[in-house]
Amino acid sequence: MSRKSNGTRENWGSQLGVILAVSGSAVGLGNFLRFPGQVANNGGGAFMIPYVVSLLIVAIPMATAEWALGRFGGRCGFHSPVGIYYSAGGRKALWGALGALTTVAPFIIGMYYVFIEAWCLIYALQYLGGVLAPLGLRFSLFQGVDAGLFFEDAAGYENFFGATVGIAKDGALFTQAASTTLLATLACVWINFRLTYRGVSRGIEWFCKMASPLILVCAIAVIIRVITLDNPSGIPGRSFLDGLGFMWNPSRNVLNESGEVVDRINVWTTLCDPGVWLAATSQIFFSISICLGAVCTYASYIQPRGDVALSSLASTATNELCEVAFGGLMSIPAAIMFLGPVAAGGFASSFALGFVVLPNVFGLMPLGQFWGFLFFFLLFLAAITSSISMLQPMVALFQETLSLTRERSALLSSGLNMLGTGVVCWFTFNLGALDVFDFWVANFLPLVAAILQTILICFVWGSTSLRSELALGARIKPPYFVVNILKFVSFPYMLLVVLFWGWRNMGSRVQEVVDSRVAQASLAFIGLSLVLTLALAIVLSKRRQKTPDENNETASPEP
Amino acid sequence: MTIGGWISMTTSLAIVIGLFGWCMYKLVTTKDANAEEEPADTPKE
Repeated sequence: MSRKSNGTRENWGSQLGVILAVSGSAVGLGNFLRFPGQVANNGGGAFMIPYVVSLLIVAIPMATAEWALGRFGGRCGFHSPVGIYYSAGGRKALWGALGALTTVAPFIIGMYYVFIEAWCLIYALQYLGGVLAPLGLRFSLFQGVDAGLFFEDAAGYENFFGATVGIAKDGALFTQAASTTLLATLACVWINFRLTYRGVSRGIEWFCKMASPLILVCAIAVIIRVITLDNPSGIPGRSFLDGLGFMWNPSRNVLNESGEVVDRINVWTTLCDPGVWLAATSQIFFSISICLGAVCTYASYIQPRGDVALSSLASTATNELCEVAFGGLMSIPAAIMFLGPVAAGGFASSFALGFVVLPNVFGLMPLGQFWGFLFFFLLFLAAITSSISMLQPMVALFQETLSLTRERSALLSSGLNMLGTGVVCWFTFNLGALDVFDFWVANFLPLVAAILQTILICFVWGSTSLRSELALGARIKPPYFVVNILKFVSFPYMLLVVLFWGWRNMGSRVQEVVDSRVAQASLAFIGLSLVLTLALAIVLSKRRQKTPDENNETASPEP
Repeated sequence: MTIGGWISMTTSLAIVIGLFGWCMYKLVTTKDANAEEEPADTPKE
């Protein structure tokens, strides 16, 4: 059993702490940048119908089941997904191997997430330099760029982003004597290391209890600012309501580059497009971080008789609040108001929206440096709360398989994580490595893991076990209906989504791997990481672990 | 913004804000059985 270095079992300090930690894990760049882009590009308001359906039949049942699975594993003495799946799968090595998938996926995502985190930090500090200028504390992180972020035209913002991430060629960030981006990345690695090093309660929970309310406050402040901007340019069609309409209207006109109407898309056309359903399901799936290891690892640190029924619902609700209410009202309406529907295009890419379009908007907005700082500080906090959750499954796995203390596990995990981050920072030409990691690890692996995890929960661990686990310590009427929804609705629906997703995406991606050496090297790195994690899973499966009954902690729901 | 836009936006917001509000209400008004029985970080060995 993983323990604190002083020999006590690690637990969350409070139920609020675990809810904030899991919400913090789920709330990230996807909520504020990816979601609005997906809505705007997939039919606006009509997109919300498949989105809400996916929330009800995929997100809530799967998140609830994953919380229950995690606490069950915790009561068996496991905190890593490998151990949790191994114990729920009747101590068969096969299910431990599934846990290896969901341990390695967040770990690799963390490698490039730290890099993106560094961009948010750089943008926030650059804006802060402008905010502090009137106080005589003007500073800039880049030579030749004044404090704050003001450029004459959109190309200036694009060039700044390109230079920050080294998009021109591989190794661009390593050619400077002291690359600001590399230093910021190292700072982010250090922050993540320190928080996991301090442990679940004193590190992760402590930080999330401060950061999550701060994220909410910053988001509300930015939204109030956007709402109170009344058509700043004075050009017809660029009011706040026009911005909202661009995002939420279920039927809309399609404009060409000159702004002329060339087509009209209505609700039924949108709803009959399977691609829109796929986009909605993918968005909610990745947003809630299902099957990425973090949820079940965090749930394993809940007290043996702690609630999972209400906690899982509360963390899902917090994530949805940030995504729909905050993400939906913030970025795109502001971009439309200042840049118009044509110039503000490029919503398909979260990076373009977040790091090119929005800085352009802040450049035109009154007190834009302050709001820019607040927005990127909000993104930075959201990114940190997510990235620490990506390290924790691997930290727990090292503790359980190599019998390391938490501190040494955190050190080893962070060291390996930094190695992967170095690979991402080197292959920056068109963000090659980041893109390959993102597709195969953040998109492909979790979908495969979702199918396997549903099989484990519904058909191996069993409905009875899930019901018992949901009932234990429940603060609301246990949502038993999720068991049948998982079996008869979510599972076939997910299967359809995965097959359709693969049919649409895999061909071009496989071709890319054949053609690109960076893609091949990145995939080799992913494969090596997976093999090493599988080896650890085998080590763990060799060790017989006690059931909750044998641990004598509480009544066992073991099948 | 069209009427359809208002309907889709207010319905979506009502669902997520309602769900969040209900969860917060339940968190405040129900008791955590575990918190009364066992304090955090209780040594097990």
